[in-house]
Amino acid sequence: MRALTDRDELIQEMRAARQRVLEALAGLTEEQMSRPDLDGWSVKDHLTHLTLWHEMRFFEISRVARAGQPSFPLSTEEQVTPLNEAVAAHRRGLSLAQVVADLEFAWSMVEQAVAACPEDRLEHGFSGEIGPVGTAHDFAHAEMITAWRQREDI
Amino acid sequence: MRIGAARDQLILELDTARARVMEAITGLTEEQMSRQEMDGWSVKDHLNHLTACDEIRFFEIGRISRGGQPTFRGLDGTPSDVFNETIVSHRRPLSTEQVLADLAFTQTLVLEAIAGAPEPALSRDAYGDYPVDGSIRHDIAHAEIIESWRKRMNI
Repeated sequence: MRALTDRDELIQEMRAARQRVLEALAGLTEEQMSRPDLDGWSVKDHLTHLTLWHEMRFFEISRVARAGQPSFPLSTEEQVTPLNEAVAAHRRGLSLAQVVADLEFAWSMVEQAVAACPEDRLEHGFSGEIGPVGTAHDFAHAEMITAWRQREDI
Repeated sequence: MRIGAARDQLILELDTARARVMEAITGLTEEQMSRQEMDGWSVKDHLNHLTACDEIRFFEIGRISRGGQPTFRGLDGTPSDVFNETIVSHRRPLSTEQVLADLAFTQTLVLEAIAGAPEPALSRDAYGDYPVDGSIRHDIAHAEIIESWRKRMNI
């Protein structure tokens, strides 16, 4: 059996994180997903937030794949909050169908970029805020949604 | 004079506007391109800003092509400033070589997205703050800022 490459492992991790996010949403109605009950954000806000960072990640991977430097340095929560809030507010009016479609598209673009990125760049090229797959970020938001569902018993 | 189909015309105008930007920076050294002399922004900052806008535009074209809505509409004042300043300041340390490579790469993706977009996604009315043809005026505006600065500085 062929051993997995780092790239394959990253893609598998990313698919697992995607699955975890989708499981966290399963069975919720659009009304439930629009409630701003998670520290002022709704489930949809969490999803558009993930989409934003995966959209940025796609271009970041492309930069690194071309032997460039990452463009988003390590940042504190306070530094990224204004950007996150501005984008979440702008995407709040989108339908659930579009929110999910946009996230699926962004995931697919990141996966394509990872698949095309030289292996050594995937290993060493990422030193900023945006990592190559964003698995931990996806998991973290899935956990927030899951915890909210448990609190609300939905 | 209109040439060819709307899609061809759009691509032609986008290419022409970008060529204007490239003409505006011709002959500048890395040091000159790094001087923050245009209301605090350097030439590299202007180029990074154009790249960031095209990065957004690429995903907006995808959204509209899938029948969705734009995600940036009425973005002015503080949110726009936050976005621009955050992105530009983060990209300030990048080399000119990378800044230009990122600019070219992103425009290539935008043009590919336009080439594959359904007709309704070619109408600027379908968009918000980052319309499909938005970089035509935007590129020219930034080229003019750079040209004016070069005249003032005689470089």
